[in-house]
Amino acid sequence: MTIVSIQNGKTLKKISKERISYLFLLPAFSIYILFFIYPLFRAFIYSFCEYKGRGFVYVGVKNYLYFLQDDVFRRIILNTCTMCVILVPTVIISSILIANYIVRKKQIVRGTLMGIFYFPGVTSIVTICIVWKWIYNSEGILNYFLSLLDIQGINWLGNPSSALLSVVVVLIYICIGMPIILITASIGNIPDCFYEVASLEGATNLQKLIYITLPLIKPTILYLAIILTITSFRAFIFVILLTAGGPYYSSSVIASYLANTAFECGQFGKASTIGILLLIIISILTLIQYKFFKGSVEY
Amino acid sequence: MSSINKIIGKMLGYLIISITVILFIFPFYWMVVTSTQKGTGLYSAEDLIPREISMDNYIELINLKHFARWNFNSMFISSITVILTCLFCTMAGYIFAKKNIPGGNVMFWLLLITMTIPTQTLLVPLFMLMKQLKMFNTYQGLILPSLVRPFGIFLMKQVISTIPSEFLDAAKIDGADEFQIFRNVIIPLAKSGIIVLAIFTFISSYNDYFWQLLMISTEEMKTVPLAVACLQEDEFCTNINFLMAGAVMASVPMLLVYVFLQKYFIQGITIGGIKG
Repeated sequence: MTIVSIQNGKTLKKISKERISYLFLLPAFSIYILFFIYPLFRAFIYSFCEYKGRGFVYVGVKNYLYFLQDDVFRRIILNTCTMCVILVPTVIISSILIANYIVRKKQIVRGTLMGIFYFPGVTSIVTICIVWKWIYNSEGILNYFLSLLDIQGINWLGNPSSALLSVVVVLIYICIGMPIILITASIGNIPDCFYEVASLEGATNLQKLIYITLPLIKPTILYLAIILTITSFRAFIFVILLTAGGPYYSSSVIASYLANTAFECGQFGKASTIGILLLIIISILTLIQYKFFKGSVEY
Repeated sequence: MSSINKIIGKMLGYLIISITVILFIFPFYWMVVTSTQKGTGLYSAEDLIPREISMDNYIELINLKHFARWNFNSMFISSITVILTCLFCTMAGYIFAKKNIPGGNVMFWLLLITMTIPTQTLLVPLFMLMKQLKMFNTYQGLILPSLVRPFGIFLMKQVISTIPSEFLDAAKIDGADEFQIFRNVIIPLAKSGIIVLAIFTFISSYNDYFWQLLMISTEEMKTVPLAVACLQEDEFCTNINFLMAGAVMASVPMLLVYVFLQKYFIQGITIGGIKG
């Protein structure tokens, strides 16, 4: 008993001695609790409710059961996975090839190229989406180029069979810069002597890439794979701006479906359920990431 | 023989990288070209290189009634968000990096765990909260939720951890209090980290299109990206050239930030990324 109270006394003393430290944490944490933790808590409660006119009514696990059986939701999960399966390998393979090429260039060339590839990702999303919408337009430049090759163009974003793919292309365009820079940095960290030895042994460039570069940048690749998977599960504004999920949910993904459910159909309860499901999926992906990246790499 | 192969390989490399670069630049080029043309219809190859350039679309855009206000809104919201985020995150990061306070570890772990939570999950409850607080269509409704950045605190903690504690001790011996230490030691030494955080906050605040769409209901409160996206609804079929001028305008602030601070962009990726 006495030991506990002594310890408590010590902690209290320490807390009062460090009160300025708590003052430093106060602004960040009050905002964090009011606009993050509290809404998160509410999202969880809303996910068991239905929104009726004036407020939320508790309905138990009905929403969750609904999404387990809903065909549209199944389609949207499938769309999200398709997006992910196309995006991740395409981005990783092309950024390895580009990075492997630009890493041995002069600083200025390398910097400029990285700048060009990264720019779409940091400019205004609205701008990018409007331009691509114009490119994909049935009278747009893409169809014009195709007509030069005698290919009949289509309305890329308005066609259920091409809408998702067209959105994925824009997403690749936006998010390829970061992987290129990261992979270039990690290839740049590999000591030159590895390649010199390989050259003495008569290895070709392709062999160097496969047997030296790839194994050594494996941690970066795994990291990117997870990050890109999470990116494709969170993809959202592009879909809303490009196709609004249509036509017939053909380009809808989880996050954009959430926004449609909430702010077009007014089903705030169901939308919160989707939010919690999305949270669960992303948490699992993050856990996998932590498992992979416990130890850091050393050369 | 092998030297010929080498030359062919080199040429092939140049060719592929040039095509990729052209594909990346083309959408921006096409946007600018379309925006400087009059009327509609730009579909033939001769038009890829414009013969005459007209600024009419830009003039029309600038003469829109609320154009100045939209720019002010965007800049005001983004700069307040950037300033407050950087200040709060640096303050919190300093405590987590340099002080061993009771409960500190628990708080830091809470931040780490919640860092990956998708913002879409919070969309509905935040919307309801804003309704309760009557913050629809106000600046605080646009700014306050975007001040939450667990990643920013994490980043600042990493940056400030690299500052040697001896500096702080020396300042303390000289009689500086916590606020002076923060202002005169921590902020100057963590400057590059703060700039990285400022850039990324600026981009995400400027691009927070969907939240702006939910919050803003009047013309006067619109931001530039939102206004341009709304032009799109009305103008897409009728005046594509005018719309493209709007799209160019919406990306100008980002372009300026990007060109002048490019070094920090790359630094930012490697700080946040390679650590994993």
